[in-house]
Amino acid sequence: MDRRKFLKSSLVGSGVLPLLTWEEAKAFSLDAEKSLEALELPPDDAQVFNLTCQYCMVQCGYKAYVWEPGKGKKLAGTYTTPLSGEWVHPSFVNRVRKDGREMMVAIVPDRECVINQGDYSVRGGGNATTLYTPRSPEIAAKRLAYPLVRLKGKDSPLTRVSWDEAAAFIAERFAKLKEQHGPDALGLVFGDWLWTLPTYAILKFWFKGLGSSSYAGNGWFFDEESAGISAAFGTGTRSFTVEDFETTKLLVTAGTNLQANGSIWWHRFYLKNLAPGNAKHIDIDPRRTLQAQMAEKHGGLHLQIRPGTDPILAGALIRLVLERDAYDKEFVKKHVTGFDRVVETVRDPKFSLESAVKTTGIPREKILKALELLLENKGQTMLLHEKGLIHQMAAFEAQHAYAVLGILLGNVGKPGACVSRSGGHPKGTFAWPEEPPSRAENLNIYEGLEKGKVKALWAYGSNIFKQLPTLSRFRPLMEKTFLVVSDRIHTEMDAAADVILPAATWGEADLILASEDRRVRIIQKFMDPPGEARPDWEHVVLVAEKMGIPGFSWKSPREVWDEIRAQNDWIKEMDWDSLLKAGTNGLRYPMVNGKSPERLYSDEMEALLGRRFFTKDNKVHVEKFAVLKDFDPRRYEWGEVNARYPLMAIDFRLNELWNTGYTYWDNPGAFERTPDAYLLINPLDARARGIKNGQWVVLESPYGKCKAVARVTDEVRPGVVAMPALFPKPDQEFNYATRPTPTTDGSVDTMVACEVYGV
Amino acid sequence: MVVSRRKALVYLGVAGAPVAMRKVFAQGERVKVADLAGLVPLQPVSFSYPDEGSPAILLDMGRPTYMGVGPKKSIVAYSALCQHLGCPTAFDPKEKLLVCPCHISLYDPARGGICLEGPAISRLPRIVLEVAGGSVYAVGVAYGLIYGRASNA
Repeated sequence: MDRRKFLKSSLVGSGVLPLLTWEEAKAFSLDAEKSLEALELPPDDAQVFNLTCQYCMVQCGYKAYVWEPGKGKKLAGTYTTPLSGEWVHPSFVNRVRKDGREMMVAIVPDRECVINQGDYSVRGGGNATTLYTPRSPEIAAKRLAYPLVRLKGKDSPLTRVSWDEAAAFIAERFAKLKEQHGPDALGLVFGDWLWTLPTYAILKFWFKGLGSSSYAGNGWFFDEESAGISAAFGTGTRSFTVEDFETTKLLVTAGTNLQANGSIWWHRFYLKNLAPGNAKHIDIDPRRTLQAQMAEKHGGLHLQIRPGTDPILAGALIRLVLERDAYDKEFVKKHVTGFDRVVETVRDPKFSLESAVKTTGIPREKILKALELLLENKGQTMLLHEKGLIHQMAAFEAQHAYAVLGILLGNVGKPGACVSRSGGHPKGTFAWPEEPPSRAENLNIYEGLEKGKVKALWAYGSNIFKQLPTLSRFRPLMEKTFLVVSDRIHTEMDAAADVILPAATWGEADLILASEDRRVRIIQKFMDPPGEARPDWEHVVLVAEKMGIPGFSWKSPREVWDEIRAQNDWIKEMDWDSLLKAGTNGLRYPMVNGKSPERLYSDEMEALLGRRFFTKDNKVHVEKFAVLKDFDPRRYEWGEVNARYPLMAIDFRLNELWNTGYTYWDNPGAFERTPDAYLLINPLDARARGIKNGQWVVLESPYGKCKAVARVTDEVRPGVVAMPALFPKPDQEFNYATRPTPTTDGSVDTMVACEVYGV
Repeated sequence: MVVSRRKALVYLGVAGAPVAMRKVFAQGERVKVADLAGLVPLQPVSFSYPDEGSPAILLDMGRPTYMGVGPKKSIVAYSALCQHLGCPTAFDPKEKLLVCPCHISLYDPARGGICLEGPAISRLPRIVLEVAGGSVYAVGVAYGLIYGRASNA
């Protein structure tokens, strides 16, 4: 039985018993037979490398231990105790090639790293399962190992060529298109989560080398996803530190499911703070997630909000705080500009408690209980939000409204207190080369595609056939361009790519990433990349050299880093050697004379940097709250809800699925949970459509459709359906149905009116 | 989150409990776990396998179950230690799931012990059972590694 058949036959996680026998299932286990043998553990003299996780913004520390097969430790019986962080799970161990030889490797969560202290998530725990290994033909086959080119146009086959030929092929076509149509005919979509060094290399090449302003990130078109935060503080950079999860008295999460998507933070909060009864949690989410259930179980709240109405909830809470004259007067007086505009704006009747109850769908008593908790824990509350707000049309309004709520309660720059994004991917950009002036009129690459102005695309660490919206309409347009792909694996893009460049990835090249609490770390190379794969920044070097463009002659990652840090005062002291020495705890920015503040906007920061905020006048700005005067949820996605599309679809991120799932099928512990995308639908909505639990359904929006297995549950509110974002099966990709219009912060919009019907 | 062993035991509400590892069963040894007559559906039976440091849970799910044994094919058993960081899981009869109290990994004993939610990266090791003469015996370990060990033997 092959993996595909297994996945077809299995409906694990959909409320339906899997239709597989043990004999079938064990073929997909972590090698059930082998597991009964002794697992070889790292010997004391193993080579040791410092790593951070290849996935999310939490950026847990890991160690790679490398040793010769057969020379590892063999231990009998139980060798460690619960929560010791000493146990080597079989998934941590793999075989790789290093310097041409087959070696054992163990990727182990680092007990010395202050972020995770030996803990790990279901994603990071599978880091070793994703490694290119000669032992797995399946994993070997999916990796890109050699440059491939369609030498005679889209209908010709992909042919293996040398790096030199591939670079020359791209250089010639780029030069020709630029000459014929101008530089903006060349479009870039980059994975902005991608390792710091490649991101800088491609942006410099695009803006300065080619002079093109046609670009998008993988989840946004223009502006920034932190706009509602940076409007207040002058930067969207996350302001808290990981220890705050253990000391805060109240955690407020809006549109961010930390249990699943920031697991180690939630673990620290849950085990050390929430469960012992020291803190409370208010979770604001249209879905009743495990996090929401735990919040309720431990004396907190789940506010099951109607999606897209967050600005009303936040505005109503602000109005109640002001009515009770309970805001932090000292903080506001000392640091806040624009307070009057807030006072004036929340006078609008739409922010009354009665109106908020009606608009948000949250019961009156729950809003009042939330108010009570917020007031009780003034100055000791963490307010975090993420894509649930950022990927709705009125993203700026929602983000800024929650920010202002937190600011007025003084939850800024104190231990256990912040208003911040929680984040998604690690920080990948420290220097942003100057953009060509044409950018002012060229913000949306989709417009360029639609008008036929964009003639070429470089998909650089971003699967553009998954990560961009309204794929039903835009994928065919992207397919027609001269398409260059830099990636680590074969993807849907193979079907249309003119050139595919294989990327050396995590473990295969020296890389740099930064965590959400501002720790910069080097991820050391500990193994060989497959075939001729090279780090993404080298792809840029080769093409730039072929085009005769100067300024791209870096010979090592260290040289790229030196150029980046020279442009950013926050990191300029962090030379390569001191980062190497700092290991998995890294160095924190902003750094001045070897010192860094634990939290932004704090006394400590003011003492160190001579300023408390990054705004020009060193104040917190809340005057943009006035945009909420015009806010009406019916103007946005809800305006498309009608008799034909009566439901509102939202998406969410699975715990076990990182990004587009490019490593999903490497890790049985992940994919056996969710072998197919599922759609949460309330029993009322399911009954009205004759939809049964576990049946295949189609979600259809005005923009396209996709498929999922129905999960009939009151975990989602009536009138709303939810499905995982970026599920790694083409017909189960929600982005075939999403809206093309960017949000008010320039991001992609993943809320869409829809209908759902059985197949 | 990793803590000292003493603290771990406090978190788990088992402060002072010794971690015994004296009696070691030979691999494949038949160890009697329960009498069929004494089993009540959805009431867990605790035992240790393959040694006394490795707690396990036997469950009669009350209906035919994936890899179940017994007259109704309803009896299964798993290592009780969470595959994430080794906290002992407990059976929640309402949800019919094995729940880890530390970081809320949820395991489904009716579906091969797979982890449905939470940080655990794999299924719970399944204890292979045999029924003979009205009793249930543990005879081996069928999946992965029991927490804390480098070998199930």
